[in-house]
Amino acid sequence: MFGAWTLWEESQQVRFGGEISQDEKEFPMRNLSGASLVIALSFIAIGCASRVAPVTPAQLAETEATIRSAESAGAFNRAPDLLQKSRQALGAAQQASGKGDHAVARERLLETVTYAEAARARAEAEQKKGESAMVRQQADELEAKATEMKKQLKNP
Amino acid sequence: MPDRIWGVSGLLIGVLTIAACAAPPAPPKELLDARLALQDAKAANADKRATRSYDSAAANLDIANKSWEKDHDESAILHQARLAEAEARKAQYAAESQEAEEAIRRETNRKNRHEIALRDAELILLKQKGQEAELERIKALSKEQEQALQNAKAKLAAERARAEQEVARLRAEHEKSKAELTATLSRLAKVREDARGVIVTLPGNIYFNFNKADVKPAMHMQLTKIAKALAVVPDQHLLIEGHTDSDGSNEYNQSLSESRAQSVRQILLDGGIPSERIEIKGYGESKPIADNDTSAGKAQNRRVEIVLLPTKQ
Repeated sequence: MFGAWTLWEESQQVRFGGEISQDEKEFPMRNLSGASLVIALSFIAIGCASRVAPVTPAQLAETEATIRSAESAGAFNRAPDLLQKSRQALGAAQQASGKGDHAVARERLLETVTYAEAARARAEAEQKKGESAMVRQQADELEAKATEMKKQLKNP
Repeated sequence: MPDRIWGVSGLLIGVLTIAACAAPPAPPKELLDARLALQDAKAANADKRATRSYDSAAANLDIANKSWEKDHDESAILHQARLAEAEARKAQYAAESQEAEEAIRRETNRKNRHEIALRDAELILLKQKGQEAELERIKALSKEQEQALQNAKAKLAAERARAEQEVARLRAEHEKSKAELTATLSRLAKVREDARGVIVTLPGNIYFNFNKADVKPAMHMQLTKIAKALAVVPDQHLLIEGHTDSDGSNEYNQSLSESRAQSVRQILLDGGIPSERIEIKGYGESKPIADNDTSAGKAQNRRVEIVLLPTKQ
């Protein structure tokens, strides 16, 4: 979960520049002309892109553990669509990482985790709904029995 | 002609090109999925139950939508849309989980209430059944006891009837024996019956010499026969009483009457009657049965009486 949050934060920084990028962006805006600004922004963008660290094996392992956790919670049967999306995202992340596209890899890893968590949430929700239905049925049966018993008591 | 055709075709191509450019492109599937997911999450009250995930999904979708409307950065749109969908589904299912948990708690409470009600009702029913069963058991026991009492009464009545029959039979036998004994004794001596029982009188002048206590030898045989007749009657106790007339002193008469009773006792013992069944008593002249003023009366008063004491029945 914290890993996913870290990925999200990093992802936001990548997409919108983050605090350091903002500072760097403001300085040329005050001093340079439009063309210089474009060039500077390009450099900044390239620089930011090149600052994205590659996905570590630990992060991959953590993400896979999230998927396995969802499977253990019953997502394999109860949320196959979300689990599939999670696995697809993981595959895409691994592919992007292999290509050196670390920003995309991180994005897809974040999607992987979020889909896995959604799958787990659905599995748990389905399980609880099942429990709820079972308890409701038991309560209904008991109510029927109790009503019948009360009738017997009134009319022995 | 060919120029016209080329002109029309060019015009048509141009119109189609303009039309194609004017129509907005369809949003990507990921974006549509994300919008749908957020709607579902809202419908599940995720905006209230899973605020953080819902808000996150809404923010992601907002970015995706804006990106779609403005710069069409496909990578950003798809990423944000996928995140929005996943977060929205997370929020939706978290909300549904909460709702299910509440339902479980609610239904568990309801189940517990009905369980208690059912148990109470079962207890009451069991109590009623138990009371009925106890009543039936007591009734059955009472019936059994009544039957046993009737059986005992019947048995007692039967035993009583048998006992009465036995008593009657014994009485009859006794009466018969008594009658037979009386008849036998009557052939051997003078027999009479009064309140004390059957009395066999041995006249003094026949059985004893004057002023003598010993039985005349001639009468031994007769007395032995009487003894044998009495010996066969079981548990027949005898009282041998000696009596005299009034001649002579009282002391002498007393002594003589006791001695004569003793003599008779000895013959009866010799005749087979057990000693414990015989008592003797000398009355002297105290119990006359006739007038001592006449010789005939005195003769009657001189006597030994064998009283057959009534047996206990």
